[in-house]
Amino acid sequence: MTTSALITMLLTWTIVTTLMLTFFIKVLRSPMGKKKKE
Amino acid sequence: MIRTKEKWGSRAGLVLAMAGNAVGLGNFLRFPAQAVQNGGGAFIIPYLVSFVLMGIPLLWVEWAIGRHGGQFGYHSAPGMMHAIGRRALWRFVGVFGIFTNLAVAAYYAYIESWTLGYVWHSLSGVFMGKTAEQVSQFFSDYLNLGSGHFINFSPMALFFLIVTLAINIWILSRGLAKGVEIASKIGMPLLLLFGFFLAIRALTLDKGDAGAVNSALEGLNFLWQPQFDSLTNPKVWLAAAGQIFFTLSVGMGSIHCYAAYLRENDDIALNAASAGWMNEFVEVVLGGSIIIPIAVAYLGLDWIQANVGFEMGFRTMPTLFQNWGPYLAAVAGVAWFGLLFFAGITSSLAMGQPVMAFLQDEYKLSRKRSALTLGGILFLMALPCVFLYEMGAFGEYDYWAGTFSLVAFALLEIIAFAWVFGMEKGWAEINRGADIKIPILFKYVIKYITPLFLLAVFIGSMVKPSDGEWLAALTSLFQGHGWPLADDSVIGTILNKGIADRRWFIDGMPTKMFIINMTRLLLLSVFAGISLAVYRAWRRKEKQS
Repeated sequence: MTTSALITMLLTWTIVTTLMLTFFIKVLRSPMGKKKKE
Repeated sequence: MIRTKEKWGSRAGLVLAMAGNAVGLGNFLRFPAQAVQNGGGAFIIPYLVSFVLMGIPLLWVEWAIGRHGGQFGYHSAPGMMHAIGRRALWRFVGVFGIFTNLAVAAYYAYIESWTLGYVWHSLSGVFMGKTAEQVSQFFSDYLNLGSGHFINFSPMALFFLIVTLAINIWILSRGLAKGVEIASKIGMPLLLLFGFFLAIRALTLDKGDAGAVNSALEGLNFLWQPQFDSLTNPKVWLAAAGQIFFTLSVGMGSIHCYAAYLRENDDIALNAASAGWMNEFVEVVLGGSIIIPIAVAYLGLDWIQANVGFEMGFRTMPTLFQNWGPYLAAVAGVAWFGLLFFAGITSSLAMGQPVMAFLQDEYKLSRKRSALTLGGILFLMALPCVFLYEMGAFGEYDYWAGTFSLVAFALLEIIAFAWVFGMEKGWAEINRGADIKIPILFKYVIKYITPLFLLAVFIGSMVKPSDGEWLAALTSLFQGHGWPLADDSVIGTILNKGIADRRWFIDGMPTKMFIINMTRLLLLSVFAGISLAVYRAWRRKEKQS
């Protein structure tokens, strides 16, 4: 695999995986229906 | 208005259902093909830009329209569009949100049934010892293709279609929390498990290992090698925007429907972002790491460039798995087609729910009766796709319902949201109860950039030039040679540009041209029928009030 292909792939994978995990962990930590009416 | 008592059981269940709605067959079959055909690694830049400027904003808009409509007791697009547009016209724009789901679910369930059939055949060892040609022929036989008959009648394909529809209807009849949510909680983790198994096996295939003639990494290299010159090609940008569009299941009315079961102050900003990025993870990380690396390892780069496409998943993959020995081949077959089945069913359930919601909200049908009605309609609508597959009915469903209608509805809904409902109210709606702070920049992106993006995709599909070569087409136009319209552009399709023989009958037998036009008439009739149902529902409401 060329260096440029490897860098493109790993960079994209890192961005996508990090954002996916960050948002999903946030979802798991705050259950639905706990908020009061604003 | 009778308010439904249905609600989501848990937040994780809702996000998994929404992600399951987005994650479909296209994540594993369409994305790799699009990336390969549009510059490999450079495709990802316009793809991610489109995701941020069009995909994510559209997700927030659709979640907001859905939750807003739900507060008025609407769980399908006609009522929701009425709630934000306040004019009868918008109700009829909302018809797209029922029509698209119904028509797409009809042919999508058919593809989904192939995956179920192939799980069974992988388990029963049908592909064991078969040559590549025999496995490819098995697919043709399965659908009864190339028989020379007018009708593609395959009892096996019909059987698996009925089983698939029955599973869908049974799950939908159990309701949101006990049906869709449980199916998503089981389906999505299994999909990820199968995906990881196949991706790890694929990426550890080295030259000479298990019959591989190349290293699988050559496939990854091919997929991820940047070709920056392609960034200036409008064809690549339109392909990337199109892929984002279809992968997120926006412009269908299914996201709206799921979001309508939220409470007034439930978050949508974080939920939408979470479901959207989960879809991207499945598509970019898993979708790009299975079919292309495995196929390149065994068949080489040249073969992939010539043959990459939708049917490859069925015609080629079972043969390649045979190289891994009988037991691992069976496991890989079950994992691959099982993965596709779970990707498919979590999407088809999301297509069924808006139709059921419409019947429940506007015609007061019980959940079970609306599920059975949906099942009956879907079965009838799927029959042309099954029996007239080679005559073009399947392709027409895919083009008009699965491609054109999505873009048209998304364009109209963002105009309704940002310009008719108003961006001030819209921004407040998106941010109410939000668990993340959305940058204010997106207020302007939603108002100006996303509609422009959608307009570009819409116009691009209407007048797409031959081979997607926009610069060559513009040069041709300015040199006075006219616009070289592509056969598969919307105008080209309406004009039947790709069909040389325009006769409807030859020797008393209907031609492909006839079937294509009749399929269009059928789809138009379905759209008109739903419009009539919407008209009658509101007329009854007006009489009652």
